Amino acid sequence: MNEIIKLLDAHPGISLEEMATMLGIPACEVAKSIDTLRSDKIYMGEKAVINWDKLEDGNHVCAFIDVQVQPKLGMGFDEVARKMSQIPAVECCYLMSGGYDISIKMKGKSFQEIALFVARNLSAIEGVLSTTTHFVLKRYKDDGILMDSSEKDDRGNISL
Amino acid sequence: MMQYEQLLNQNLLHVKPSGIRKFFDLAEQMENVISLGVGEPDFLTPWHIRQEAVKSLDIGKTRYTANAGLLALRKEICRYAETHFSLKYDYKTEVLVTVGGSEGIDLFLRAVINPGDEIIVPEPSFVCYNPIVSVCGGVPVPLVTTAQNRFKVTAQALKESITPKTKALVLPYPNNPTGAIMERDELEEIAAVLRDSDILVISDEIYANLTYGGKTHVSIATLEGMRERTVVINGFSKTFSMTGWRLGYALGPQPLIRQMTKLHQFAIMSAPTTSQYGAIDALKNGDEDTEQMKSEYDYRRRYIVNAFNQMGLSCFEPEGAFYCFPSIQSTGLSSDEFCEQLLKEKNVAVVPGTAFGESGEGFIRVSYCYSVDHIRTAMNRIREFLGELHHEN
Repeated sequence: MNEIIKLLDAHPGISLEEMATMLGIPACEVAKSIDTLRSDKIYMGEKAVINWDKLEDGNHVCAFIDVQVQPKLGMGFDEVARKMSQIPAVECCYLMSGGYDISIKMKGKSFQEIALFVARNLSAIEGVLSTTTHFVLKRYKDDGILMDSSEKDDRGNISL
Repeated sequence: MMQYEQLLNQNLLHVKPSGIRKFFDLAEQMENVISLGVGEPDFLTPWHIRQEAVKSLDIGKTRYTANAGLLALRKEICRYAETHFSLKYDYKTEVLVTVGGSEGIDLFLRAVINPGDEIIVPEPSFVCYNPIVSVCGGVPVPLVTTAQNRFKVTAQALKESITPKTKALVLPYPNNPTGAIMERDELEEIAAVLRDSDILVISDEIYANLTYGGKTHVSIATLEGMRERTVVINGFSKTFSMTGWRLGYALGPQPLIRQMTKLHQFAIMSAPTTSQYGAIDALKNGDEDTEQMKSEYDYRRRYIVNAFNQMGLSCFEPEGAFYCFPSIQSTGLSSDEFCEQLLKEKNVAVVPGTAFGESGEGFIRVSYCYSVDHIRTAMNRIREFLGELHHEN
């Protein structure tokens, strides 16, 4: 794997200069590579991982919605998937193998808000045959980060 | 009233406790310390290795193994040593599975030392060699390495350390605390000194998988005439992040391994069975994990060495292990003073170079077994500390 991609993936928020030092190459070279990765739509940006459960204000409901779609001649599932992706509340939209066609991840303020949104907006998109909504009840791990871990560095301060 | 001092092993009694115990106690008592002082990986043991160990428990593998270790593990160790380091050993007679690399070192030294025998120990290096040599009635002979020669053992220094009483040379590379490695041509020079002697070598290669900058580890046992006089010590702690599993191994000529196995049999019986099952999986399927960890260590290594050099603490470029060893001589403080003040004033823990022998004076050992965020915070605090020190002077 490209070393810069590896670093961006493992150390989000790292500066150009730090990356250059860690890779042993000039900062201008790193900057050029990142520009290329951006223009090639490989590096799409960075996003914070928030443990919404910890906010405890009850306003952060997340759901996964399995969508069955009637594919369109010459377009397959792309047209429906692109339409869904345009909706701001839709966080992720994937074409899936298996028992359904499109997987949607979306966030809302309440179960009801999401349920109504699915009924009124998502299901109403032309080509959508059915939806099944699964609400997230508790987050254990998001984007590779353990959410409910109480693990601390138990190595002590000094060992030889 | 019991006279313990008279009852105890006099050799042990006279082993000096580390002079920096006070500093260690202080560091361990303090809370919210940003530490760069730990000599073990921050990564957990890879999941698949843990799973294999659990699986072995599930199917009731809870008994002793053969004294020398599970045959399947010894076979894997030999395969791994050959494919990774070109070391060829017979799994039936030339391998011993030990409780960590440390037990292998202890067994070797106890197996070979007669009272008065001299063991050459490079300095600075890991702390276990000298006390064991002394307890066995041997005499540790320090061979001082310096930043000027990149903390390597030179043929000249070795020749000067050899006497008719020399029994063995300890070769601890890649090195804790300096991060130095020994390359093939440098080892050839050492081998040339030893080849026609009857001096043994204990090559502590516990960091063998962690070398950087395109350098690969060379074991002295692969050089002509050296296999017959060398016992190689390695283990799972550093390569596979398995420190708590306490598992290592020794590879060497049958007459040496046989005696070491005899001692191991009486003292230990066999290494932990669950750990041995995990280790088989580590050797079979752990290469990718090792490469990932190594690549992450390498990023941090470049980062931390650059940070020290930029703040004026010149740091020789380590090429192995996961430590750097910057000089703090420019501050005018001793290693102990530097570490104690840094700890008290900035809550940052690093280890005085003197913990690894007197020749470590003027240096600190800094571990990069920490996340980049953690290292960044520690570096900022050390920079502040130096700024304030400079301001005071």
